[in-house]
Amino acid sequence: MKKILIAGEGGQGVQSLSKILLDILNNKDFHISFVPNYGVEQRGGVSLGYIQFGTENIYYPKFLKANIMVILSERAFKRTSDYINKDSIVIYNADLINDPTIKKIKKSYGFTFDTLSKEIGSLRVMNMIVLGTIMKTIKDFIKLGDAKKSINRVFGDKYIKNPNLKVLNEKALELGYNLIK
Amino acid sequence: MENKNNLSWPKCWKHSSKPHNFCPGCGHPIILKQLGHTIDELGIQSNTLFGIDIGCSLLAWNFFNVDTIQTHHGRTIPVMTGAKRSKPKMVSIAYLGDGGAYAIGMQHLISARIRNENITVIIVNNANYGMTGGQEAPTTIPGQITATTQSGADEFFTKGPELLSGASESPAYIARGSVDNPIQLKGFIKKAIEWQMTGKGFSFVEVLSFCPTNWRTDAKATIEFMNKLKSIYTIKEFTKENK
Amino acid sequence: MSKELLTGNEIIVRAALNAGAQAFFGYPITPATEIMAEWDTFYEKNRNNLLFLQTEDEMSAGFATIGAVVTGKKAFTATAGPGNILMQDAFSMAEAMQIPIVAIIGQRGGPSTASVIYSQQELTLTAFGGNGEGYRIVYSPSTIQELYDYTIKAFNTAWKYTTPTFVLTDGYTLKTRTNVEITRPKNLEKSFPMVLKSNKRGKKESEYVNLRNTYSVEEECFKNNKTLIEKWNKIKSQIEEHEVYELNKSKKDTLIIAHGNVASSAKQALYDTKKKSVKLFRPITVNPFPINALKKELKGIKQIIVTESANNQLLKLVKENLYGLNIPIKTYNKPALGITPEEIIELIKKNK
Repeated sequence: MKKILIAGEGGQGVQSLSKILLDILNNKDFHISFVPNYGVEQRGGVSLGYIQFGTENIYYPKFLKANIMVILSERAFKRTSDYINKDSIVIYNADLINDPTIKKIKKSYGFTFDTLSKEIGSLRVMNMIVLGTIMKTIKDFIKLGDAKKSINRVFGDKYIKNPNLKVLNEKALELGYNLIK
Repeated sequence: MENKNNLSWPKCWKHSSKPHNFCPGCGHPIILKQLGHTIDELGIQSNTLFGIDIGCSLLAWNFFNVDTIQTHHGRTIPVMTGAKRSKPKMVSIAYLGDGGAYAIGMQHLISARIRNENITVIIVNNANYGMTGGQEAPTTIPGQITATTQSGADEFFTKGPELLSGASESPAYIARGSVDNPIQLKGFIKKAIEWQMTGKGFSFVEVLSFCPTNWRTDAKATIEFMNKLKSIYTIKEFTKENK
Repeated sequence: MSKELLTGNEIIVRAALNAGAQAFFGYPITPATEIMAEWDTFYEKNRNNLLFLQTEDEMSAGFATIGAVVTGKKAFTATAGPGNILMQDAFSMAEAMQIPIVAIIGQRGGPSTASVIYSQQELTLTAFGGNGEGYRIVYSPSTIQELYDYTIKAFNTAWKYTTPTFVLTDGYTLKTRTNVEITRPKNLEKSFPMVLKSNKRGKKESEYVNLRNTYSVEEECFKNNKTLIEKWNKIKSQIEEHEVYELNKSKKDTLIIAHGNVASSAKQALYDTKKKSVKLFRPITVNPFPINALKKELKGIKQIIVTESANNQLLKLVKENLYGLNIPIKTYNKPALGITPEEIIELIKKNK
């Protein structure tokens, strides 16, 4: 079973990123579980998504150590550093995390997600770049085409209002997918 | 058929529960008799759910051959709301004291008015909490002596019909009657229930009522105190019609 | 073929609809609010057959549910924490009058306002809240699949035994999104009116129903209590449910007792460690408590570990039901905080 923890600021798209990833995994016929963390605040604060998937039953929605960690802000790093163990793969946002300890983690990959997404055209597509990197990390079974289908399903309504978003999202996804070799 | 002289017992009277358990001189039986006649006249005996609250009003739980349900603390209003919404063709009547309506259950009353629930609420205002031994009520008038205002009540009190009239723009039948004018009272109750039966929404009757036991009054003083209440609580229809 | 991806809150509404629910009355409170929002989604599409009202508070929601039920509707509500406290007023009436209402309880942190997230601190309140004895049925499902199955069952049980029935769950479970199997139940209990059964009635007093919740003399009140006790004693063995989780049938020396979400965690721990000397006992009905089933599992057991996201609420039920046995009981309590499989693995190691 794989355990993924995604952590970022409210507004960075952690929840919609989780939703798409879940949709991809669901169509792969895995057992899956996702639980957001949530506090009393409606806005702001650190947003977390606990994702588990695998071929065996998942009994419990949370976990203490993650196989893959995605950390998108400095505060999110402080909040979640306990979930990292020696085997964890850590993907982080180098634009916002200055804490030097993150670079010392053995399997850590820092990317300038904010800068990259602005280059594509909007900070809003940042989470799609992140999704691309997660897919590459999970490796063997996620194809770009599958991800695009899931994005279409989740963002369907938004795409009708804003067709350009689809173009940007797919561009961002591909960029992210090619970031990790 | 209209009962003009108002003297006989209502047909929906449950005889096995008489004599009733209200105190001698209590106003409740007068109100219930007018309600009973109204149920007879409108022919709604089999189609009415009568909800009764805690306090003296609960003694009416088996007063009529009409289906009843009893609860407490003004929650009779949401019970009757849930029932009416589930079975819109029935007649839903909530019968409460001033404590259940204006203090501990005020949010239910106001909300039923604001949401324009299609139910009829009858509130008995006797200016004190009768069953618990005559404590101050939201309707206790300035200077009134009760078990918890032993040197006289403060100047604050609740005017239910006025409050409900102002609580919403939507039309509603709202009236205040009194037990010393039962013919007029029956007219108010009938209009309120007809209002509900024609699907117009919220209807409400407050009734000024006698409580000689806790007022500690004889017949003459009871009438005098009722007159005092009437000088503060105006008897009238506050009905808001559609403009 | 993939199963449907749903949150716990969404699954409850699907279960309720498949169990024949017709009405929902509620007031928003995290983490149970989305049940109401999800019900509204279905209600907007089917206003002719479904009822929905967001009331002014939880007392109103509970009592309006009762009002709908007595006229014959399958109505339910959902609440949590401070809302559960307020709704005890209505639950107590349902208990006294044995009115079949269904309520979903999404436990959040306590005491008082506390956290909106997760806890198991509403076990005692849900099972025994009010000025009575707890003649109520409380299911504590462990997974979202069970949340579906036991919500359906709650409706059937409530109407079969005309007893208020609760699904005791929590914020983690309600907010978890997972793939579940939606199956249509085969047999459903029918709802029935308790008043206004006919609108063609005459003068006979026996044709009218006077439901009351009050007694003027103590002997009458005692009589009602006796009726409640006798009914409860008669039905409880038919209602009790439990699960024993063990990897194989080899000899066990340690018994973990947990319910709901924590029991899931314990299962995961046993599964991950392949621990053969430990088994899990999980009461599915925390009320009535499956006492005889628990006693049967004690053979050869040298120690019991009770673990819960509360401080000894489950333990009290265990102790009360195991009175007289001298197997040592250890506890691992984390009120308002989740207990992960990793922690339970540690716990098993420590208590070897």
